Amino acid sequence: MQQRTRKILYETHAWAGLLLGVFLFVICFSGSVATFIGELAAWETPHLRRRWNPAPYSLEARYQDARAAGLTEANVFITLPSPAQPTLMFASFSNGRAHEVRLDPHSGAILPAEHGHLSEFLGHLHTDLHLPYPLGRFAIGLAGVFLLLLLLTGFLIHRKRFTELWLTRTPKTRRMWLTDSHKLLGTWGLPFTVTLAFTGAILGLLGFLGPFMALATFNGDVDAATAAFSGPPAQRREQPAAMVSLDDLRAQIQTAAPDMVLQYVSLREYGDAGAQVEFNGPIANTITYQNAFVLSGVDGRELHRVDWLSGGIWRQLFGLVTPLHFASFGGAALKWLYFLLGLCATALCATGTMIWVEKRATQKRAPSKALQRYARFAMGCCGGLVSATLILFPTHLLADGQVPFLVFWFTWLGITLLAMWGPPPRVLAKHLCWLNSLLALTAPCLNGLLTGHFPWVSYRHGFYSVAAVDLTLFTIALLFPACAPRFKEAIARSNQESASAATNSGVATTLSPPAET
Amino acid sequence: MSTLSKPLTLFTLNWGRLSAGLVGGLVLALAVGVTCSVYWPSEAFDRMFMGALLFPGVWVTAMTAAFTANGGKQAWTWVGIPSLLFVSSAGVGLWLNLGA
Repeated sequence: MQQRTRKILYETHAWAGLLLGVFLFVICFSGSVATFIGELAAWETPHLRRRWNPAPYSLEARYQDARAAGLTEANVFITLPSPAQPTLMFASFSNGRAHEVRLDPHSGAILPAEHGHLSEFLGHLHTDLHLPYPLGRFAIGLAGVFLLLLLLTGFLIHRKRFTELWLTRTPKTRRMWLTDSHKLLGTWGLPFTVTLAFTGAILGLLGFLGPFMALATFNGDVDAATAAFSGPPAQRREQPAAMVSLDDLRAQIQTAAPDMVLQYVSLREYGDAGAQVEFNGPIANTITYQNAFVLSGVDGRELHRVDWLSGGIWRQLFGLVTPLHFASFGGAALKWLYFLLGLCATALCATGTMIWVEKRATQKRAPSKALQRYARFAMGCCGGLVSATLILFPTHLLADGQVPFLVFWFTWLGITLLAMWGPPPRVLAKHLCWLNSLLALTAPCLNGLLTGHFPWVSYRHGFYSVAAVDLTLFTIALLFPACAPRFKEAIARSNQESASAATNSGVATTLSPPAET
Repeated sequence: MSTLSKPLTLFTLNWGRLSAGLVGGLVLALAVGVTCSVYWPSEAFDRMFMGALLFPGVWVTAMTAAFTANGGKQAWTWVGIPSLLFVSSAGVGLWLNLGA
């Protein structure tokens, strides 16, 4: 490759990284946390914790229980129990309000409907940045496209990408350490990061792409395309009719597709002659999105079927997008792998931004105020997000309603402002390490004290998701103090260099790491 | 000091290259998708999903090509000509398709 081309690619990589580094950090970090959205849902609602019981249960009987509890609407969405959330949830939506009934699938006992929103909050941060649709979603999709650009340019400019796969040198300077980390994380994590960026771009921009892709066949009408793909909507006929038992319909599906793992059931115009019942779920041991069977509620006739494993190659490839992004096909081990690799992608964004800042800071002239301000903003925004996420856990256990979320936003904002106008970044980073450790330690301790579910109790009772979340928080609490001494050394070195720089040129700066030689 | 370690400036890439990569690349990616959804010899949804799946790759490739061009004019030539071709073929295909 020509030197000029390499330089342009390098600049593209550097500037795109600079402009999007913090934003990508937010997306990657929130996405890593959102990997465990189901497990967090079990953790956040102590009164809904149950041991997973895979024994069969009557869906029809539970639906009648839900009706007796007041859920009489004709359109009902049912979330079937899973190991992470072993309760049955019936929900209906009318006039923008949700009516929910939760049940024990085996005993039929009505469970408290109130549930925490921590997992939803963290999930929404990743998918929409808490901005109105489609603003946040499209921004995330565009970030996916530019992350792909960053990965491609990064791959092309990294000359020794294969010979440096096993970097064994001891970094002599901070920038060398950052560069080595960035290269290693980028090279080893490349297949994973490309997959996430690509699938994220598709999922984020689907609402934008839909009308264009539907131009040829559906004249740009996405609703018509969706109806053709997912099946026609139920038509109410205003004729009450007897419904086939949900248990019989479920048995019919299990006969037709024995490997289908049922996750959701939708009742549409239930009780009417035009009723439909849709069963959704992936096929076991395949990487596939939700297959669906739409049946008539009156006679069980199959009205429509969505099978992502059939049809053309592009359709099958598209069926891979969602499971590949959400790690929904490989069990707990895969989720852990996604979580760790997601954190690696987060670290990739952070190290990239730090390299840029350090490189600018070590160029001939003294770092400008704008550069210092940016470095502080990036540090505050990234560090603040981690602290704000951790503070959600204890505050969620102590306060109801919107309080935890307000605490989240104020913490994030507060730390960002503090980083911009407060102590030097490395001093703040050291304190944040201790704060994060304290917060991560507080959450499982509070969980144990308030609910009695200490990790060993959760494990004994079979609340594995709860135990896993608590143990993860304990691990985080142990890891942060291990990072703090690194900042202590950096502060000492920085002070030394500042003093020396002030002596030599009269310019003192907080951003004066040693130059890479 | 190597070329790569010289101070970075926004932009050795000029506005012509930037606009070609960002705007031209977006138009090209959409045009490729729509053209595929018209002409690809497969069932309707296969064609639609093909367009959506190609979108990020085409846009990123177009950006990379445009940024590394020798100037704005060359960047717009590299991205603009395929864009025009795909837009026109998609337009003709849609016109014939809707007229049928």
